[in-house]
Amino acid sequence: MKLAELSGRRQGLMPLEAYLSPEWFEWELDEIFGKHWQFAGLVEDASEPGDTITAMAGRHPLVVVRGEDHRLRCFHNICRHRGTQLLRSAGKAQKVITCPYHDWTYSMNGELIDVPERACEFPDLDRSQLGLHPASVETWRGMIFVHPQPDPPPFKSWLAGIEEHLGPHRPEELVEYEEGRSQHRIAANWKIVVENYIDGYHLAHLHSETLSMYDHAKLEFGFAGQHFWFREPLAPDYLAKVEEASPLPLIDHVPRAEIAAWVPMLFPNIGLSETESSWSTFHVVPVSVGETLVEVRTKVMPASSWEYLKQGWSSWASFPWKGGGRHGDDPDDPMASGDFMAEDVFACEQQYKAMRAPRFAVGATAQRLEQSILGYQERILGALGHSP
Amino acid sequence: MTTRKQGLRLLEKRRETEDAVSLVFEQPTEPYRYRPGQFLTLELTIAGRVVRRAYSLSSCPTRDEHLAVTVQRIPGGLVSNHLHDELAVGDEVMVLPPVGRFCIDVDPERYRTYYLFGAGSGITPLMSILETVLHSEPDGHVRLLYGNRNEDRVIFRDRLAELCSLHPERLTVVHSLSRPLRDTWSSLWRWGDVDQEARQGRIDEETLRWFFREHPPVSQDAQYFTCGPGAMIETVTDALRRLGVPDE
Repeated sequence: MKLAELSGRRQGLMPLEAYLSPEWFEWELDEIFGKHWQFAGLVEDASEPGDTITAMAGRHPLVVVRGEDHRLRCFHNICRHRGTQLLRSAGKAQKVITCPYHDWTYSMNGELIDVPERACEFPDLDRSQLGLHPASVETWRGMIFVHPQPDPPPFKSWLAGIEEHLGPHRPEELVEYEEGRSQHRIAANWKIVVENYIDGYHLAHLHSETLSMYDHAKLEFGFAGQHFWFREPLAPDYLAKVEEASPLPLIDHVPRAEIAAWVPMLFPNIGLSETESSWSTFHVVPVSVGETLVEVRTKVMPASSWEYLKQGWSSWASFPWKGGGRHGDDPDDPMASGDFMAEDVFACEQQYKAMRAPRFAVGATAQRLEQSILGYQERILGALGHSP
Repeated sequence: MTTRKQGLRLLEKRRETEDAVSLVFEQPTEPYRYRPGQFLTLELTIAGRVVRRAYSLSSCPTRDEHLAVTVQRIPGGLVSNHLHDELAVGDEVMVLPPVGRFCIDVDPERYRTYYLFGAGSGITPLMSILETVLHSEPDGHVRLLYGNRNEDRVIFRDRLAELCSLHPERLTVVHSLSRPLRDTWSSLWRWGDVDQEARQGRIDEETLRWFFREHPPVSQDAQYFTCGPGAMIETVTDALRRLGVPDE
């Protein structure tokens, strides 16, 4: 991307083109998503030998395989024959990986083990040179991360500094609940979605009716390396009777004194939300320059449905959970939905629509609560090799 | 590093089981440097004959000040019986510098899961690896599967229990007992304050499959070490190969 061609208009530190130009988006796929560890799922997604999941890291389609030794391996999801994508989605208990096109077959260790009609069609083929291209995989806190390079920067040096800013949660001990899984297609550039996630200023306003259980006046945040961390305590009236008021059973290994909401965003695009009663991933997937997919997954305490039902009644009876949102009762109005995610999607899309307008400009930036956005933009530009 | 043998004083004799004893030697003035997994060669004069025996270091190079080896008594064995019965604290023994390629390099930045498979006195180099990883690699995890005939033959039993309670999230120890003394209706029994996980049987492919399922690697960078009688090493190596562990 030639900076000389840029309009000179900005959103914070970023040129507007960073949100609007397909060329810039391609650049980010290579330099950001193709060069940083990417979230690929939860370890339960591939828990048994032979289980596979697919993932993208920028332009790289990848496949993660669990071996008989229970170790995960990662390969490029590309047949070495004609380059066809091998696996379409997750699979269970496979013994081999076979390309749908010409049945070239690979072992779960990535070796090419069978080529149909080899003797007559490929008499000189050296199978040892045509194994699947290796990539990298790592697991941490019950999550799977992938990297397209076989010898990437060490996983822990990517994480460096953020671990001490995370909650005392042990996601490996929690269970996913299906109702907590959702996908949201958002008509906005992926960075708008991340900026919304880390913006401390909007919480008390956009979400005044939906996130009132947290004490926004006491939020703390900062950066650790490339990652953003965020923590805020529970609102005092909620905390005082949290055992009864929590809509879900409390996570029992989080000590009472440490109950809070930890909401970090790991660079570049995986947010976590670690609260008194749930633990979620918020994966911001870039689809195109103007389209983003957010995949949310949630884990909670392992408990019976009866216990969940009981906790729900107790919460309803003991805490003044608001009904709809703050703008009337139109069922199609996201601001009346009572759902903070719908509110965020709405705000992101409204922001992105306006970006094309000739009069669009950021008139002022909050000197504390919006500094996170500038810090994040600085890191994006840094990863692209630019100083703002 | 010194390459010549030196006379080192025995500082302590620590009984580990009825027939295993740890010998703690004083470091020479210019200390012997070693990596976990390496061994020492002791040179002794017994009944006028000069004999040499190699023993794996069981001490931890990043934590322990002195050098320790652990010796299992071999029925009728010339040297092991001498070390058990004759050698006394304060005696000097000629010791060659540590050597051996069965070892790890410590890297505090590393995020790795170490699978250790030991049987009997094969635990000694594994113990040094285990102690060193826990002490010097904060993100390192250790999964030990330790085979013995019965509970009373378990060397470092108390130390392993202590380490399990100090590092519950980083260390897993499972005992594989071929002829347990205690009732095996439960897979757990207690030593001190720590539940010990045990499984009846030998370390074979089925046990390894069970072990990997119950205790999958924490990080996906994994390394495997096996130490024990030849047949056990062969069984484990073959099984690992069948399970897809790359040769190293």
